[in-house]
Amino acid sequence: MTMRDSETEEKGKPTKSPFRDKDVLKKEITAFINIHKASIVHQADRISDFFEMSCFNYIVGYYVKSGYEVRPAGLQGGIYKYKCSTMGVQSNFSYFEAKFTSGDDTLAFEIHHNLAVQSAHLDKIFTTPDISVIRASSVCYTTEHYERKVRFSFVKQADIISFCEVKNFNPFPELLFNFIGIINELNPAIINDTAVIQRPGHIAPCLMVSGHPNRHLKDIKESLESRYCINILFSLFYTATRTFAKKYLDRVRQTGPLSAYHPTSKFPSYDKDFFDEFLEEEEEEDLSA
Amino acid sequence: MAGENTPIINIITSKLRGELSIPIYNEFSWRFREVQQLISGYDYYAPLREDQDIVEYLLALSIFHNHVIANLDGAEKFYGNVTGHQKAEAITIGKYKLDAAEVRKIRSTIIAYDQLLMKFGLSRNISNYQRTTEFLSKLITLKKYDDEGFRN
Repeated sequence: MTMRDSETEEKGKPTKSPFRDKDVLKKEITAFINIHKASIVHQADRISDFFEMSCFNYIVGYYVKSGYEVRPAGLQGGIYKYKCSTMGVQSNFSYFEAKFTSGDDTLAFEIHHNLAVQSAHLDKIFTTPDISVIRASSVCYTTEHYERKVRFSFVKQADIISFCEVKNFNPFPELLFNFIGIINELNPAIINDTAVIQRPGHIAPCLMVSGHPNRHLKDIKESLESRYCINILFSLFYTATRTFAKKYLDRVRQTGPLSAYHPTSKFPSYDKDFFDEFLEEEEEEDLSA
Repeated sequence: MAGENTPIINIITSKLRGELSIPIYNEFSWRFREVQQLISGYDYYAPLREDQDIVEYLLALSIFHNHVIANLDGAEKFYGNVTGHQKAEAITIGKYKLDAAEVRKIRSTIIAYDQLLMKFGLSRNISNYQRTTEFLSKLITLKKYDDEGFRN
C-alpha cells in the first residue's frame, strides 16, 4: 500500500478504482469469497429461514415507521424461539408486540410466525400464513382439531388483522392466483372491496417473493392489485429496501378499500423507455425463433 | 481454491448447496447475457465495452449480495431487534441457535464485504436494482466519475 493509499483509507475515501485497478478488484473479490466461503457454506442451509426473518423484519419495520411501539415478546427462558413451521403450540414460541398509543388510548397487536387462522367461511377450517398480524392476546387453543386430540393453536377470524405469505423462489402465475384464494378464505371483504379502513393503519395482506417476475407476471400483479387492496412484492432482494423506506411507505397499501389508496411518493425511474424498447425487441426475437 | 481463470460465478457458487447456488447461477447467467447484448448492441452502454470483465465481477458480486449477504444482514438485524429490546440471549430456529458467537461470524463476513466495497468507492447501492439496465447505468455513472477524477 502506498502512502497515498493509507492516507485516503484513513479518511474513509476509496483508494482504488474498479475500472482503473481491475486486477486488484478481481483479486480482492476472489479473496473475499475464498476467505468467507466456509462461514457462508455453514449458513447456507438457513438462508431460506433468514429470508423469512428478513421479511418479518420488514413488517416489524413497517409498524415501527408507522408509529407503533414494537418489541419482542413470548421469550422462552431468554431465548426468542422462532416458529419456522406450522407445527407446534404457539405459546411455546415467540412473537412481536405492536402497540399504538393515541392520547390515553393504547391499542395492542401481535405479529406472529406461522399461526393458523380460521377461515371466514367455516369455523373449523384453517390456513397458516407465514406472518400474521392479530389482536393482542387472541391466540386460541383447542384439542378438537386433530384426531389425535393434541393441542392446536389458531386465531379466530374476528381477530386477524392482516397477513403475509413469504416465498423464497421465482414467482409463477399460479402462486399469485393461489394467494387470492387465501385472501378469499381469510378476508373476503378484500375480494368484494368492502374492507373498512382501520385506524391505526395496518399493512394490507402481502405476497412477498424473492424472485423476479417476467412481463406476464407483472401484468398479473397489475391486474390483481387493480382489483384487490393487496401488496404483491417481487424481487425482494432488490426492492425491499426501497419498498419499505419511510419516504415511500405510502406506496405500501393498508387494509381498507381500494379507493383509499392514494400514494403521493414516487419511486425514481431509470431508463424505463429504453428498457421497454429493448424488452420488446427481445420478445420479437423470441417469437421469431 | 479456484484457479485464476475460473469464472467468478463458479468461485462464488462452488460448495454451496443447490438450492442456493442454482438460483444465483441462473440469475447471473440471464443477467450476464443481457449485459453482453446491451453493451454490444447499444451506444448508451458503449462506455463499458472495454470493461466487460469488471462488469462480470461486479454483477456476480451484486447477485451474491442479494442472495446471501442481504439475508445474513437480515438475520443479524433481526437478532439486533430481538436482543436490543429485551434480555434475549439468542434466537432458535428449530435446532439451530443464532447466538452472539454465530452473529459475530455473520457480522465478520458482512464487515469484510462492506470494506471490500468501500476500498473501491462502491456501496451496497450497487446491488439495489431490479433491471439489469439499472445496474449498468450505475456502473456508467461510476466510470464517468472515475474518468473525471471526482472520486479522488
